Amino acid sequence: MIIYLKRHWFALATLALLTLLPFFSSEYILVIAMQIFIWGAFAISYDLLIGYTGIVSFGHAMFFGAGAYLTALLMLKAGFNFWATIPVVIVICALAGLLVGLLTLRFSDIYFTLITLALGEFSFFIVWKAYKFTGGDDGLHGLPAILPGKDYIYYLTLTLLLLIYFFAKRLIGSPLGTTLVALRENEFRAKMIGYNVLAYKLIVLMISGVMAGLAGSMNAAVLRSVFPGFMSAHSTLNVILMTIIGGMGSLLGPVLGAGLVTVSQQYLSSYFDSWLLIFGVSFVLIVLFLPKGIISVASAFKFKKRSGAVFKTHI
Amino acid sequence: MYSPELYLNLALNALSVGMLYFLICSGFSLVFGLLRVLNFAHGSLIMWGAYLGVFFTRALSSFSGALILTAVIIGILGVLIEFFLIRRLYGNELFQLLLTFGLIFILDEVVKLIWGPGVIPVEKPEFLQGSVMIYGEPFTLYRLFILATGAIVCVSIYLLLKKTKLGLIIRAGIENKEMVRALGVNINKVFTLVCGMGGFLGGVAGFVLGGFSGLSPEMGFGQLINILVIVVVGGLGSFIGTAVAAIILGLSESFLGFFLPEFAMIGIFIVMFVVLSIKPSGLFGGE
Repeated sequence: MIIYLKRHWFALATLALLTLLPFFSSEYILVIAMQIFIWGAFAISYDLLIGYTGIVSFGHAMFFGAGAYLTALLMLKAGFNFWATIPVVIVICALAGLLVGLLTLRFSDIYFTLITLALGEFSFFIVWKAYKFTGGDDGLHGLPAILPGKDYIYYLTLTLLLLIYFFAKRLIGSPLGTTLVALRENEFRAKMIGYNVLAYKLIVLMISGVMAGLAGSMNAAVLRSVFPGFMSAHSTLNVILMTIIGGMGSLLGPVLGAGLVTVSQQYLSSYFDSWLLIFGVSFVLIVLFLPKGIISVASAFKFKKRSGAVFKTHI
Repeated sequence: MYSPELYLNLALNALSVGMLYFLICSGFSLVFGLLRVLNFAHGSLIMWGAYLGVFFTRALSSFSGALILTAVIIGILGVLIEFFLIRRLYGNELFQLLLTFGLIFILDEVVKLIWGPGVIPVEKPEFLQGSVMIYGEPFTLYRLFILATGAIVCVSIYLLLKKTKLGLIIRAGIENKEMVRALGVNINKVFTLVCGMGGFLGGVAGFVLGGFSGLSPEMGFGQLINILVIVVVGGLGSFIGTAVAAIILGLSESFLGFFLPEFAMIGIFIVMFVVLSIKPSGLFGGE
């Protein structure tokens, strides 16, 4: 127990701080914190693809948007309860992941990247054009509140992030996760050893799609409205920024990135219109000089002595 | 029923759209063919070409002078990107992808900083404003200009690749880089040069596109989607495939836009799905 405390004091302190946050902070800060949790969960799902399996999707927002729109449509048009939409989101996002994977993963990774970008734009156009259903540009508004208070929703989003984080951690530590890393390191060798590369990639795409979809439906529930922007390339750009700047190939990195990007989006944008330029430059610099992102600096200092599970696969 | 003249007119319009697509994709395809680098920033280079083109046309009051100056500047930009950035990451596909992707942010934001985030309408130069009558249907001069530019670019690339020593090296490099290097050619210099050519072609495409559709800071990303769809349909790395796919996409877009305007925007995706489900490696793709 004491050893556990000693090892994880930082994480536990952060968690305690986040748990107590609603008691002393303003509503505005809570809203930003919720956005960070949701985008952090989305970024973790993206990192499973890019950081652990080594496949680059440029259309990941389609799952995020699909989750958001499914929840919103089912709640508004079919009178579903929020909790009842979750199984639907899981099933549909898994199927979508399977379909996207079957369409794209048969080819080389480059094709996967190109076609996911095109598919992402395609799904954005569909949502944008289907005005009768999705409200087009305006989005859908007035979702019923899912819990009786802001604080409860805050804890719900925090729970979602923690669930997704620990699920991903478990996944990475499992034989499946090790196989995924093997695919990233040397796909050809993995194939020769006898792994069914396509099947593994399909599985991770489905898992990642479901995670992104859940983050999306949570976002719909928190904002109580959805916008086509959830599905657009902008969301994909955001999640890529978060994952790369925070640090791909680790699970805390994307969450850190989500925090950085969301906070700067809120604060920098009021002083400086082109805050994205700063992120563009730092993105390029990180790609060139710090391929494991900001988290790798932190882990070099803080976690030097121990071989924590989070960084075990951090090759 | 529609008259045959109308169909001819529609076909000519479609051809000009296809030529525009070809111009837009040519630089990307050339760079990918040799370097195997997907230059996601190509759309943004085209946007820079469009903005600079309009800027120079106003400043120089010479249309052809502005065209050449724009193309050269974007070409130099291409050289700089290869020399200082992409070169560091050869052999690491993932990071090259991310790098060129990151450049989109920078290039797009700088455009917004300089020229503002709004849409800027562009007036075509006087001698390209009217239209000619072909079998009783009007055909705008600017589309004729696009057709001519596209044809010139297409022929010059063909001649360059097939008739010059540099073209020989490029074609050999596409087949087998290591062998070319072993034969004593400094292929890194050729890489830089080809990136410059890719930028040059992007500059020409941007110049033409700016006069055609006006300027907006979102146009770079929009063109990137077109490029990707066309290159995938044509077969990655195949220059002929790119040209054919560009024409096909131009045709499908124009005809869909006329008969089923609802589907015009997703038409290119439908073509992509159909082609990929029949031939997964694209029309002219190998493997």
